[in-house]
Amino acid sequence: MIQSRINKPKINITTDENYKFVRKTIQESYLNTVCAEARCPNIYECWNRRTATLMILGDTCTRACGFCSVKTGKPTWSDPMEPYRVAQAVKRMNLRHVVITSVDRDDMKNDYGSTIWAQTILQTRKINPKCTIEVLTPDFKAHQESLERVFETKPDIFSHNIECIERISKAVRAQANWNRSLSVLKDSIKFGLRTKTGIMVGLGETVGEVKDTMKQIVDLGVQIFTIGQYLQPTKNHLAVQEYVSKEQFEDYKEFGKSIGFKIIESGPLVRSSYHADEQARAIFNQR
Amino acid sequence: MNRILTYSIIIGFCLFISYISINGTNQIANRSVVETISYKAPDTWNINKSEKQFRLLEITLNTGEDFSLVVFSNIQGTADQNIQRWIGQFKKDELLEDNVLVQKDSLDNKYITLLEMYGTYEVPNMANPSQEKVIKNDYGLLGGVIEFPNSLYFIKAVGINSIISENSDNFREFVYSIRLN
Repeated sequence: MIQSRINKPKINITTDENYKFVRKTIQESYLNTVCAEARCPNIYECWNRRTATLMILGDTCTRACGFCSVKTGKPTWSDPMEPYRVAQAVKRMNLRHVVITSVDRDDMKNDYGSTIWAQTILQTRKINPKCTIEVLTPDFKAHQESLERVFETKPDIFSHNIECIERISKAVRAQANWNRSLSVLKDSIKFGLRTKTGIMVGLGETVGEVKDTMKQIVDLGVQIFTIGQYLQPTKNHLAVQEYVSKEQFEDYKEFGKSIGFKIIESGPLVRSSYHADEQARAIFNQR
Repeated sequence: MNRILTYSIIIGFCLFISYISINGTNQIANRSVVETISYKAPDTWNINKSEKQFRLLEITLNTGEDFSLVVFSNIQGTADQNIQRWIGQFKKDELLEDNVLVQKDSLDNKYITLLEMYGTYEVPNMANPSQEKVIKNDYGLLGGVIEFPNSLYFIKAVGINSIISENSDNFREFVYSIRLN
């Protein structure tokens, strides 16, 4: 079947001085960003706005999800100074809101990278007390001590993506578990954190499945939800099944608000940290 | 001969593009339009364009159960004034706090106020306000006000408790789906 490309999103690839500044800051701080490692289509727009999503714990992930272009393998990264360098980079970029994410570190048994996570949050807050912190974490294999280590640092927004609807989850991220991700979100909410998650569409799901998933998520108490179009990063990754129309994204947005999400971002180029600073401002203003 | 072949290819290509364009927009075909707004409504609703002044749509249920929804435009008053007016149409002594729910929200260029309440409905007689009101027990009301930058739309549904409660989610979805054309 020929896949209509009518709705394929157009990406702006112009760069300016801000882009160069962000790239220089990242390079000089020896940091990684998910923007670059995951070939995010919004890298030009976000870096031009002087925002970036910092990725800690190295550039090699222990999982090989079908949608993600972050390098897979056995990580060698071990850097106790990374939390400090993240905090300094946030200060240098003068961010009011920072999004921090990481690769999965299933190799670090009984910690899964949570200690570095916690130190990064604490250090960033210490050096940048006015900056709000959003974390987009792995599932830490739902290891309670690891999760609580991160929860106890009280990030302003705790985010963990379920990535897609349940039916296709095994094909999309074979080493993850949809219900485990749900349990991470539940734990975060139970801990009292403002919680966020997101999915990609265009992977073969139906509109009804997306809406059912949204209902399931909002019923947990998740406040912020994002929906974006899946784009195939390379030919070795999962193929796009459908380019969802802008109208359908609008429909998801209206539906999401009607069922009670406080903030919902829905659009072809929406990613979990896309315009996260604006979402954060909106939700903090609702307090 | 070559020219005919070239034109055929171009026409064929144009037809193909038209085909995929149409397929690409089919997903949005389920939005309906009335005057200045568009909306999405559930299949279980029977929707009619209203001929009455200030009314855009009059909606009932396909099942014929006691449920009546009206979309108004350009009626007087602010969102809050109309919400209060609707609350006033229910017997005050029965307005327990649990029975009245007002929520405010925003989405893109619109502000949304929602009301859900249950109690005894004193049916307003707009043509003759002095006439004795009809009283309906075990009734419910769903209200919605959408404020766009330069226009307001009001949505009011009344019916028996159980039917109002059953249609509450559909009502919310309907209100949030309303957009300016």
